[in-house]
Amino acid sequence: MNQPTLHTGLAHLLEASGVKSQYPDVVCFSAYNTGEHDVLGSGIEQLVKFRFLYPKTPVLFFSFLPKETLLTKDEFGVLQLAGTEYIQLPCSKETILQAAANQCAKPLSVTDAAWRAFFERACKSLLTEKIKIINHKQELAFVNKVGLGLRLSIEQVINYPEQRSITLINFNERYSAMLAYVQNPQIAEIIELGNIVQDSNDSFLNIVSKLVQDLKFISDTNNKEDFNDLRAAIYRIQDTVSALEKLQPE
Amino acid sequence: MKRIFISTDWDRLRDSVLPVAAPNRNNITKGIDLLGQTNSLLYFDSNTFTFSKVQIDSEIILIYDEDYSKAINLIETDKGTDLLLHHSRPNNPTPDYSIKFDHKVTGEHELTGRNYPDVFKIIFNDAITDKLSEILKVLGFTDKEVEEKETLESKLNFLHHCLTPGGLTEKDVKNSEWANTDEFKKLQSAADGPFGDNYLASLKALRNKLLVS
Repeated sequence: MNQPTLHTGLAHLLEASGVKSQYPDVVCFSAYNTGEHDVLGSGIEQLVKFRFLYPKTPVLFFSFLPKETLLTKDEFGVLQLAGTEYIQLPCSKETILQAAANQCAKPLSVTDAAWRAFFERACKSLLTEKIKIINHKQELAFVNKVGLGLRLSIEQVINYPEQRSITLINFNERYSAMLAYVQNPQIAEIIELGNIVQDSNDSFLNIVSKLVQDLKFISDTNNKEDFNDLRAAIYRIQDTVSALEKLQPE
Repeated sequence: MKRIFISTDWDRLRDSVLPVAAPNRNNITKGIDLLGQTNSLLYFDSNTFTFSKVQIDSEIILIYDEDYSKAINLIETDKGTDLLLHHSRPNNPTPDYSIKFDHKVTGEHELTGRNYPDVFKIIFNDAITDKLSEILKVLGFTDKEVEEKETLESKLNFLHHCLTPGGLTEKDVKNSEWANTDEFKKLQSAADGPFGDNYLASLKALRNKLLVS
């Protein structure tokens, strides 16, 4: 995993503390990052994104400001989660090492209710914006870009079996376009986020999760020959996109 | 003169931003549809309230995002004063915006986030005459806000350098206005290393002096 880039002063301090060598699994974040527009909150934003991908990794979060000040910037409550120790600077070597030891001794549990609440809130906020890209008339509209063309090519394959040598050419082209579509970084990010949302109590996230499962199904080349299932999945995605367009997240 | 540069392109504005920012624009483009490889910079004309491809003195300048790295060299920027609004979906490769701008804001260009719609709401509202001031307000870049942010950033940068004795000799630190404070001088004289009691107490005092407000 990529370690966040820290201010040289803090990097030198951590080096001197020995925390990196003694606790290599601990990841250190700084609230302040040179050159970022949000002087107070840029480190929190980094941590939110990090937590999605590494929910169990112990984190030390450093700032010269008291925690209470930064909580006003912590929209999703990531600093309050188990697994993250807030350390106000300056601090002793023992404080750093003890915090790292504490975090390593009790790794974050993904089933923890607080973590689920954070995750759903933050994920929903990000997905609400990101998912719009696949809506009708948008830059990466699923139906217009790939869905409709692929579905029609499947209809031809199914309905005209005697011409399969011809219809399969069109289908293969459409299928390749669909594979390229799901590899687009923006779609890949939606899939990555939606993929980790499972068994949520939130209706919006549940719909996104199902959409992502269908996207994964049609882009799994093992299913390429299951024309009926592919067609059904495309219909489901189309319906889901329409439902998402109408659905205002709670 | 303070100016704002906005990295954008017409197709994305039209599809993702303007439906929110100017839903009743009746196909009015304000000349922004000219933005592209041929016209990679457009200048806001405060007389006609439209963008011009002819270079004029302007407070609002659009840059074609795909050609950012080339286009930004076609115009002189004031690194310390001008502001850039760019979008969070980076071009490939991502330009280094900080080469030309000390002050920059990120927006969700493609995904109808807040900054782009807020800014283009102002641009498309002809009732607002002092557009730059309004834009700076919604982006949090009034003179007062910039000054406060710069001061806080300088203080935090200064304090981070002070975390270890080696950092006290950095040019940024030595030339800083806070290098003359008694607290800093005391920190300089603490000879027990970054985790020594004297060093920590002095740094804590310096922190409290700088950040207490």
